[in-house]
Amino acid sequence: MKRSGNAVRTALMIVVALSGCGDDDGGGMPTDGGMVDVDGGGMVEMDLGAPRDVPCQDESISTLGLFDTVSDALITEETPAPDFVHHIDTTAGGLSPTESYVYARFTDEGLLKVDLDDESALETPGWDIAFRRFIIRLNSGVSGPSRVAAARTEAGTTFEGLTSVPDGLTYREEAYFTDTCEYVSGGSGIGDPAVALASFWTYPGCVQMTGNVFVVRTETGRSVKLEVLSYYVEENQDRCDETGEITFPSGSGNVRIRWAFLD
Amino acid sequence: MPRVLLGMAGAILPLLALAAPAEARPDAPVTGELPPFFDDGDLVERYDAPAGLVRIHYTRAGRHAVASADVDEDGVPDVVALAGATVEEAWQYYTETLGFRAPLDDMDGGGDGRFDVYLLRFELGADGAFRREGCGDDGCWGYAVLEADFRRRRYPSVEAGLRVVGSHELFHAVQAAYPVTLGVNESEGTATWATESFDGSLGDFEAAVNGYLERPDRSLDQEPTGPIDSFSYGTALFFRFLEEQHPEAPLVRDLLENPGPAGWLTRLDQRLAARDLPSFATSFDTFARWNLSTGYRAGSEGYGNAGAYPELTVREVELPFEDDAVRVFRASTRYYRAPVPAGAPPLRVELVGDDDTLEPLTLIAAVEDAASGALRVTTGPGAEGLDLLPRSTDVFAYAAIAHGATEGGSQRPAVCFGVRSDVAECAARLGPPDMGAPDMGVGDAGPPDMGAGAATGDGGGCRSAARPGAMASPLLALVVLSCRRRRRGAVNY
Repeated sequence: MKRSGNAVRTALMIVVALSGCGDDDGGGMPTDGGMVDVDGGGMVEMDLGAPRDVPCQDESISTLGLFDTVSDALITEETPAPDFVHHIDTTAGGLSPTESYVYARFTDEGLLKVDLDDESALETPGWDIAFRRFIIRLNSGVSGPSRVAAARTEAGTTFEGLTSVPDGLTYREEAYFTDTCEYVSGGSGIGDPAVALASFWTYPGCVQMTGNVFVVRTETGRSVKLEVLSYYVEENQDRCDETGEITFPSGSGNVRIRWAFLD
Repeated sequence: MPRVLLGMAGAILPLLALAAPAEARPDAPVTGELPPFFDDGDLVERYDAPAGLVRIHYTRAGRHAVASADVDEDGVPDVVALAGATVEEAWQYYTETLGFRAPLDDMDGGGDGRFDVYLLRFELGADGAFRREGCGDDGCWGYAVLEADFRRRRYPSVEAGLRVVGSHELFHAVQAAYPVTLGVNESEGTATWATESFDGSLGDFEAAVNGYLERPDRSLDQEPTGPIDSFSYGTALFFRFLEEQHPEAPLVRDLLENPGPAGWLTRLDQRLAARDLPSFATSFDTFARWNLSTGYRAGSEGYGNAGAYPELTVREVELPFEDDAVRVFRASTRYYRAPVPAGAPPLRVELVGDDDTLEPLTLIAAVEDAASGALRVTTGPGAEGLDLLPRSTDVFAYAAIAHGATEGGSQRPAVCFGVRSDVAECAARLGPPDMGAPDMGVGDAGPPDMGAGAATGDGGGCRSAARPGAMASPLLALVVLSCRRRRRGAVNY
């Protein structure tokens, strides 16, 4: 018999280093159940719920090119609460990524990095969202053991104008593999997986922002409004958004998101 | 398929369609052709190469202009004549020397029967493409587009660029002449292999194989989902391995001549069997072993030109090392390297798992001499473990897990690597419950020779916390998990 991540999950214990997090993670995390080691030395207990086996792990690792080493990329807060803007370094080693996704949680203190490698993240709760290049995954479905979901708001919805969770949203968990683990492409023509947040961009020849505003239901049940502002450095993103073209070097892998809790 | 120059961070190249619209050519006045294509007003000239096999289309002015030099004053730019001669030379090599089919002519498509090559300036990363135009029962025909000005590309010379890209795209035309659908890795890997076979002096192959050698943990048949990546080209190394192992067996040609519904690994296994050669699994084990001896580690065993290849990327670890569930995909290998401990004690690597897990795996272990870099390599079944006896002059110890299956999912054994006493303890702890589960006491789990010295003498910092019995404490279990992740974090992939 070999020990695996399942055994770890059964014990409902994880070690999650939360960069920039104090003794209280501030993310509304329940405090009954397992124990979480937060940056700053504190141990926080959390109820991670019943562990769920994530399907298609082999396919995820091989098809998405996942790694078993933690990315050292940074998440930087550019605008504080209540309407956060965070920069995430999603370069991941370049066009053919050589590094894990950057994993993070939404908290009252900001978007906090969770030090997880890709393979561990498939079996680990405690993160909401992950970034690599222009792909943003949620911790749900085939992507992780939690139930983080996203819904795109009605066309024309603005970030500023969204002050509560609209009625009638259709939430999506990650399902970029079918029940038989066949890959589901996002349809952009460049091979990206059909992630729940895929419509933050379109591809007329560069990664162009759509301005879509999403509501993300986090692992702890809170609702976040979220808009992805850029993938390239600002000047090139503007050029891409206006003309469908970019110049090189493109400054890709510089994702900026604007987000705020709705509750 | 386009050849893509990698390393252009930020460039996201769309997957180009395999088939161009009928009659769409780069010189059509109004075209739905994929770029690049000639601009309106370009005067497109044609040059028929001497052997009558190839026609070159080019222009002398505008952004797609070829270099105008015409040293022999025959009225044809030298680069155009060189392109024609190069593609015809490759054609004759593939068909006459290697015995492949010739590219299908385009007579059925309304062409002139010659293979058409368009010289155009590519704007982004690619520098060549073969485009299918039509298909019949015997396969497909099409044409090639080559970079018009290799002076601006990263090749040693214009001639080298033409030989690399011209022979590569022509081989895609050869592949198309067989009624078989190829995956990206098989297609690009064999085309890159073909160029090396055509002209081994170009240096392109030696650079391309790094795409494989830096990701040996990826399955040979794991296709890219997005733009063609360096791994696909790098799989050429496997086809080179086959050629060097079995020089009398045209296995690349076999794959084209024997299509079937199975994946190419399975089809290759069938062809190996048909030729009474070692199975794919056995061949893959040798491949994994050869790959260890590349670059400065090249020695007496392995590729003839191994010293010119990049070093294999290995995961750097400290001994004792363990991973409770390393994932090894089919047709892939996991490599580890650790400094030999002071005093060069005997070492061991062992896998832990059930029979189904271990049966398809092979262990490879080696030690590296500090002065020469040469390796002494040993191989054995995954279920049995391997011993290493370093000498005082050895600097590194290696362990590798090769998985030579042609289909199916990954295997996830635990791996223990270190001095023998540590490995015994590790294997007992990570093994089946009757061998010592994590929540059993020290007396039940520990091997006879496991003492305090073994637990503390090899560094690593986390070793003592991982001892049997200690795992009964949830808090310490957390520490153990944390340590494992820190080890992973030290990897130098």
